[in-house]
Amino acid sequence: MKHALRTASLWFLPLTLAGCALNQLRIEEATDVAAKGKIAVAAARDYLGKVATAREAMNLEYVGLDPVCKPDMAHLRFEPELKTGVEIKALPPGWLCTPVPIPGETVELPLGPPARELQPTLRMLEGLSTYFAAITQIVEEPGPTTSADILETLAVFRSAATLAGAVSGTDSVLDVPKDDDGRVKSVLSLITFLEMLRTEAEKVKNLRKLVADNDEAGTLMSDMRNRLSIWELARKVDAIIRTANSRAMIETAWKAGPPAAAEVRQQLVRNYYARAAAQIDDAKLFPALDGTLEALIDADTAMRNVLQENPNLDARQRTRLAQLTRKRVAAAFDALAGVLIAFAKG
Amino acid sequence: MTSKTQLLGALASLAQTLAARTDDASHDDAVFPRWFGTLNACNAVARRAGDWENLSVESPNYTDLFNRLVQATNWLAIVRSRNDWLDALGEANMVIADIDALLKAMTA
Repeated sequence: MKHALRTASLWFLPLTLAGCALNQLRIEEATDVAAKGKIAVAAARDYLGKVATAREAMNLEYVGLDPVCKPDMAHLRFEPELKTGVEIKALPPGWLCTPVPIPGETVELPLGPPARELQPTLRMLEGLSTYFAAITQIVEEPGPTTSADILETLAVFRSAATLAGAVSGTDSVLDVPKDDDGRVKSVLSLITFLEMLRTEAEKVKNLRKLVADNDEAGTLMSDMRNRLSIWELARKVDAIIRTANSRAMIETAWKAGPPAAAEVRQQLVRNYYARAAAQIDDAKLFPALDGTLEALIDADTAMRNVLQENPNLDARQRTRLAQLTRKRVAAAFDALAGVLIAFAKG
Repeated sequence: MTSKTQLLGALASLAQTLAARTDDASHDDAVFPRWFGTLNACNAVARRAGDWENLSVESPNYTDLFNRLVQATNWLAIVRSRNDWLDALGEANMVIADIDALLKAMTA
């Protein structure tokens, strides 16, 4: 029996080790995509919230500058009736906007709710979020609990043996090993190891199905990156104009006769400082987000590559696979050696 | 998508160029209103990004408008005299009006 077990183990070892570390690498890559995806989606949502806030502030400003600039759609003059010697608030209604479009003289300025315009981008984010959640669910799925089942079964056997002993009047009719018995522990270690391999294989199978069903996810991520870069340009223009407008208001207030009150002048300068500072701060957000999205797209490409049947691994993946294989070989030898030693003693 | 990014980038560049000339513009009563109008007209067109799905580089108008926009931006960045300023702002406004009309036609 002992000899047979040893022989089987020797044959078993290379078979189980072949490719099993590759599945571990596949799961690691998927975990990386899920983690990066979660961060990117949260950062993108946060960024779009700031875009909406900036857009809303700009809209309110247009509406406040001239009562003829109507919400939803204003008709902005190319050449506003603006005078440097007059404070903007003292200008007559219609200096910036006209009630109806005038070809060649006005341009349509949409002043709709920012949330409405952001909806397509937010819906796209939702789609990506679902994809990352599905990856997370697969990689975090707990494996089978055969080891726990065996311990439970042994406990039942022990109770039955005790009961049978009591009925027959003997100490024990069946020698059921205890949980901390060396043989039980070593076999359970081996079973746990094999279960882990089976669970990994199952997860890889599910991941392959998921990426096949979501073949367009990579394109969607690139599309999202592009779309966000467009929003960044739109936000940038909003920010530039808000700052320039506040500067222009200072000019009109300074040149106005009679001069604007001290509080008004101070408030105008305060606004200008705040907007200039916000313009600098907000400009840092998108490069960080864009970097996150780029890393995510790279991670998704790497995951899809490694999930293939015979993947062509890059240098980083080859190094990692070698590390994982070394650890796995050691773990497999430990599990097998444990069984052999425990049963040799027995 | 690329065409949207390019055009919006060019508009952002124009807005940036105009914003950088605030001091120059505000010292001239004739230039100031046109400068203010051009700056805000840039925004009016730029913020319609959501409607730009159909814009394509294949459109013959697109290349022409894009090139004129870049030219207007460059010109605005270098002109100094009052007359040049007015001409450059007028040119920028015309290009913006053309882009606006093109967008309306494409998304109608």
